[in-house]
Amino acid sequence: MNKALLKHECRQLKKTTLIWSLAVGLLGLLTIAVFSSLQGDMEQMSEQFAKMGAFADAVGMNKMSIGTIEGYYAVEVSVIFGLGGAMFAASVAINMLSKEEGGHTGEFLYATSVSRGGAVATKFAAVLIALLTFTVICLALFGVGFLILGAGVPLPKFTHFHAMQLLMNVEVAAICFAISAYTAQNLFGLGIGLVLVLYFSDMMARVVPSLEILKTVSPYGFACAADIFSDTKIEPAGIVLGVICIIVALTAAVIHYRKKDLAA
Amino acid sequence: MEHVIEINNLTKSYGKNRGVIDVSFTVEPGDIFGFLGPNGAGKSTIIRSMLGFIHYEQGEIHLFGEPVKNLGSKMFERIGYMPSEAWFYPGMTVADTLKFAADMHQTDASEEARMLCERLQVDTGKKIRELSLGNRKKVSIICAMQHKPKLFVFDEPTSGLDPLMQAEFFHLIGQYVAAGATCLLSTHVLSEVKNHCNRIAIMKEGRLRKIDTTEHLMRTGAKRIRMLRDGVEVDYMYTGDLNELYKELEGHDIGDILIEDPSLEDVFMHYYEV
Repeated sequence: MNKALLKHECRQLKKTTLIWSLAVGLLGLLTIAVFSSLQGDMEQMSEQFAKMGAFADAVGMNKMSIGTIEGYYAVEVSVIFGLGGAMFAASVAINMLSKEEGGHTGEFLYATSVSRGGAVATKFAAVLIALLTFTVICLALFGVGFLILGAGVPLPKFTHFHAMQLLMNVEVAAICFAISAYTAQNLFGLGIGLVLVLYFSDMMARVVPSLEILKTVSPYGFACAADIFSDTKIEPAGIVLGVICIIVALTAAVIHYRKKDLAA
Repeated sequence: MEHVIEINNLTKSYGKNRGVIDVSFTVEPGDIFGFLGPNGAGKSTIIRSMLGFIHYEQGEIHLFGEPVKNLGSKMFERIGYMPSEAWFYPGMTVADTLKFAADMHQTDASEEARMLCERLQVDTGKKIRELSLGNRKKVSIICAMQHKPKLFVFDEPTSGLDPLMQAEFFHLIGQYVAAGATCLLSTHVLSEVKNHCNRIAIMKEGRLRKIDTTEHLMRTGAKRIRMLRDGVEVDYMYTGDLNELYKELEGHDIGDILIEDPSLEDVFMHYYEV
């Protein structure tokens, strides 16, 4: 781990992290804060959505009522945080290694005492710090939302859900980080596309029984708010697969990046 | 005395494209070694192989007497490298860039950086994105020099620099070499090599065509012949015995003749025409 490089990367990510954190956090805050004024409508909507079969299954409304703050949080706020967080993770990680070649700074950076393996480790550490910062800022803003609402935070489930979301974001980041090791381009679109594929594959798995395996493959399976807040048992296979995916992706990134020919 | 750079039978290709073929040479302590050749001759490929930016198929490279593959990134504590393209992080100031480069070398180079900024007239408060090519080159030179390495590797260092700064750059090189450093200078500016390098390697199409001291190269047996023969102007390099030349000229109408030592340009062109 190289301290100077870590400081440099964190500084480079500061603005992006703040923008994403404030955007997702404030949107979540507003969504939470307006719950009391929408509560009556939400109870009615919840009854109507419950009759919508597959759609209700897909968004978890077969398990939770959006007429309660827990259900509302699990269905509404979790989508904002789940998609926003994973998109942030993807957008940061997909360019982390490739930006040195894309920006022609590779020779400047690697003509110093940092090894490529050390740079990979340090850059991923910077991504982790950005993800943690994002999570802390968003949670703080969500907490403000609960304060405005005057409701207590359902702490154990809240913590469980956000721990799983963090693991999901790390998995998405690790996959995008590995992609970044293999290219010299900023594949931002691919990163965002990957998040959407993972999100919708989880939704499909909840609607189409024959595609249930996708619930294990997609990290949205183990990080599903509706499952966590409704105490539905979460299969550990998805979590194990997620951890394996992180290890494999980072190992592939290190191995490939150490031996690749750097573009000038 | 151990070689600072020793390259043996280096071969590197880019898929089906030629890179460098079977190149061997050494650079000795205290050398200012000129690496000459046109674009695409393979100079940068050798430098980038030497510094570990690209991997090569065959051959051995030793720096400071050790195989470069064993040295890893620690070698850059003793190497100052200036790439041909001076790119940095555009949002950073010059001061931050120099500090970052020094921190990456885990050294405090502030005194040396201040001296170099003064000598090369660099405004450290400016952002990289505001700099001209010449000023980015100057920052790149300072990044290569500020940690006082034992070996300088410069790839096309003076393109974009005004003549005064070019002179200052070579003055600095002279001072560092006098203090015990060694310099590999890749360029296609012949006058730089002639005026500042003690040894020269000439590359052509991925192969090393010639390596010698500047003095020897300038005193090859070759002569540049310019004459008016049978009413026709002739200009060529002659490498044979001059007595043979005189015999060849017998029977011809020689209007004028000039036989002179070749310039470095002539030597360079000679190796390119062979």
